[in-house]
Amino acid sequence: MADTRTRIETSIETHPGIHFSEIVRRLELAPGQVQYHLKRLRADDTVVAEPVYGKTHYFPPEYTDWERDALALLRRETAGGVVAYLLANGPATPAAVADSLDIARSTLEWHLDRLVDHQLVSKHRDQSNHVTLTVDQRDRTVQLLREADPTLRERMVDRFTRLVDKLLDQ
Amino acid sequence: MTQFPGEYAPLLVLVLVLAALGTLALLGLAFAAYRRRGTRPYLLVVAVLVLLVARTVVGIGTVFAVVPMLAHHLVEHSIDLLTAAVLLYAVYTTPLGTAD
Repeated sequence: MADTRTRIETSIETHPGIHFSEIVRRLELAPGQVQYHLKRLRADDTVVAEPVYGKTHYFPPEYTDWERDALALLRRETAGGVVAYLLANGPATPAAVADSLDIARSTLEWHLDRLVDHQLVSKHRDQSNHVTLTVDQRDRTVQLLREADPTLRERMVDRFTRLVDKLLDQ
Repeated sequence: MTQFPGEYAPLLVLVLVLAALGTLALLGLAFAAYRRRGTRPYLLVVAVLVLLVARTVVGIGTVFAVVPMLAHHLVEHSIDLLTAAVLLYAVYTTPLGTAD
């Protein structure tokens, strides 16, 4: 049984922010089995569970609160794309970001609300109330962005919402 | 399967199975998107895709002689009518975006 537990632990280390159903799928284990081992791993602080927007993500213990939230957000393709654009091009206006990523303003704003909430991106307003977006913690964000790999399902849901937003925005 | 010429029956079943898989996958995406956004346009997308899945279910029902041919046509075309109504409503109620 210790072997299964090690596999779960390794899976969380290599995919920080992985969620429950993904562990079950990747390791081809019974949900009850994963649940049992996760409970034990959490009890001795080998892994940390973090609910983000309705889903529980699992992390190795060395991740801080901010990093856990950031990683869970960056796993969304659009949010990751927005942050990557700002890292590559420096501070930019929302219009420039939406244009460059070819997404509807409503899609961008929805993701920005979450990115701003979790201090990944900040909005600066100048005297004439024009907004500029910047990435707050550059180096750590670059690192997290590298670790965040969205699952196929997350990617598809993200693309589906982008498509619907675009259709509705025209 | 009496209504269909024999040689087309396997093809029809295959098409229905693929249609069921495709429409169910789309419905799953739409539902996940609705849970994420929680807005009315997304709910309407879910509604339209539920109707699309329903069409396939009725089709499978007819192939296996659960839904008689007459009811099949009535139900299928009523679903088309409902789909058009939901989409027209969605188009009509989509407001102009507010630029900031």
